[in-house]
Amino acid sequence: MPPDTARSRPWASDRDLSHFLLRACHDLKSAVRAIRTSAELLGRDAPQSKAGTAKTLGFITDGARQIELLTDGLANYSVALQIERESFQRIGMSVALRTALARLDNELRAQRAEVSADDLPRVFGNPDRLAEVFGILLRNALRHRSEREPRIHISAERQGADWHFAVRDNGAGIEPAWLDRVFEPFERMRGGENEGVGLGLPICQAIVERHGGKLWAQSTPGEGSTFFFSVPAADD
Amino acid sequence: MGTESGKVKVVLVEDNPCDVFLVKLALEENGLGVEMINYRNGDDAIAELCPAAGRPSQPVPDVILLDLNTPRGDGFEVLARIRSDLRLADVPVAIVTSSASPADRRRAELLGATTYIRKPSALADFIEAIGNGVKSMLGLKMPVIRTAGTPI
Repeated sequence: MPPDTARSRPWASDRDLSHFLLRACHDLKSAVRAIRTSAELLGRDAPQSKAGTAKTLGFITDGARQIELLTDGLANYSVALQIERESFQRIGMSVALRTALARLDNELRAQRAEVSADDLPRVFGNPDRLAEVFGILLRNALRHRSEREPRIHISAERQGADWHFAVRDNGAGIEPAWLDRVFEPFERMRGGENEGVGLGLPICQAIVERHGGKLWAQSTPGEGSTFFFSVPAADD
Repeated sequence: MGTESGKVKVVLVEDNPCDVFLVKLALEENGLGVEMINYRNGDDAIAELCPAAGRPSQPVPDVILLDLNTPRGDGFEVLARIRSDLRLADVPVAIVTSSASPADRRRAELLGATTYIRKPSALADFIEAIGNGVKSMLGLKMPVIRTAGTPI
């Protein structure tokens, strides 16, 4: 008899799990699209209907949008699971940061946020996924801002064979009791429309760990937070 | 370009009825007077677009839209067949998909897709993405392009 500790693994590898999740997300997205576009068409083509109808259609659309956010998060997590060293190249982290900033341009302007950075070094990794790490950390900084206009600074410090990157903001900060919990999947600190589904930091963690690095945070409530991640250096 | 009726001929390989409806709606709302033919699986598409010797062929379409996850011959198989057919080798082909996989995008590019459109879930975005994609493949002028779907 196999011992109790010998459980069969449902997935031979992260790659198998990743394919499974991506396929599930694909099929979910198709169904959600049918729901959301149909509700939007009903709302668009029958503008004279009762106020109650518009409200109900709004709930359908909002629910569909929430499912879509969740499936997009799961899909991004799945893509992070697929990271393999074969995809690694030398990448200037300033380039990765610029890619992330370009994608967030509208939100940065809307919140009058300023992002500054030291000269960032070159590392060895997957360019798209490292840009995604910056994107998620920046977006979180905007989401968890204080009344002050967001000021975010990115810096890097060499530690042995790695670079330690820091993304520091002047936002609301995180209570000590939450500091470990924020890395848990689906944990959200506050409700509200722009909160997201709680997969951003788990995705960052999956990406960073597959680069051989770590992700951690420090925070002072009322003053701001700093998120750190380490990545192997690319020495010329 | 176009059929005897003068209309632009669009071939859509897609098995999801809602997505077929949405693509047709998007083409109409973008003012593209098209004749759209829909194949629900890859095998039927290949049989009519790249028929065996001696069998009648369909007129060469102006644009082909391929979903990736059709039954009995997925989008990649259809794309590979199209690109190996001399009659169709230069027809613009868009992959139109819900897939979030970067590997799918790379494979589509390698197989010779003209463009890769991720299907948005919001009605207005879907209409815009399909409209812009088809217009650009037809070489028509169009307004400023927004990214089609979510960036990978």
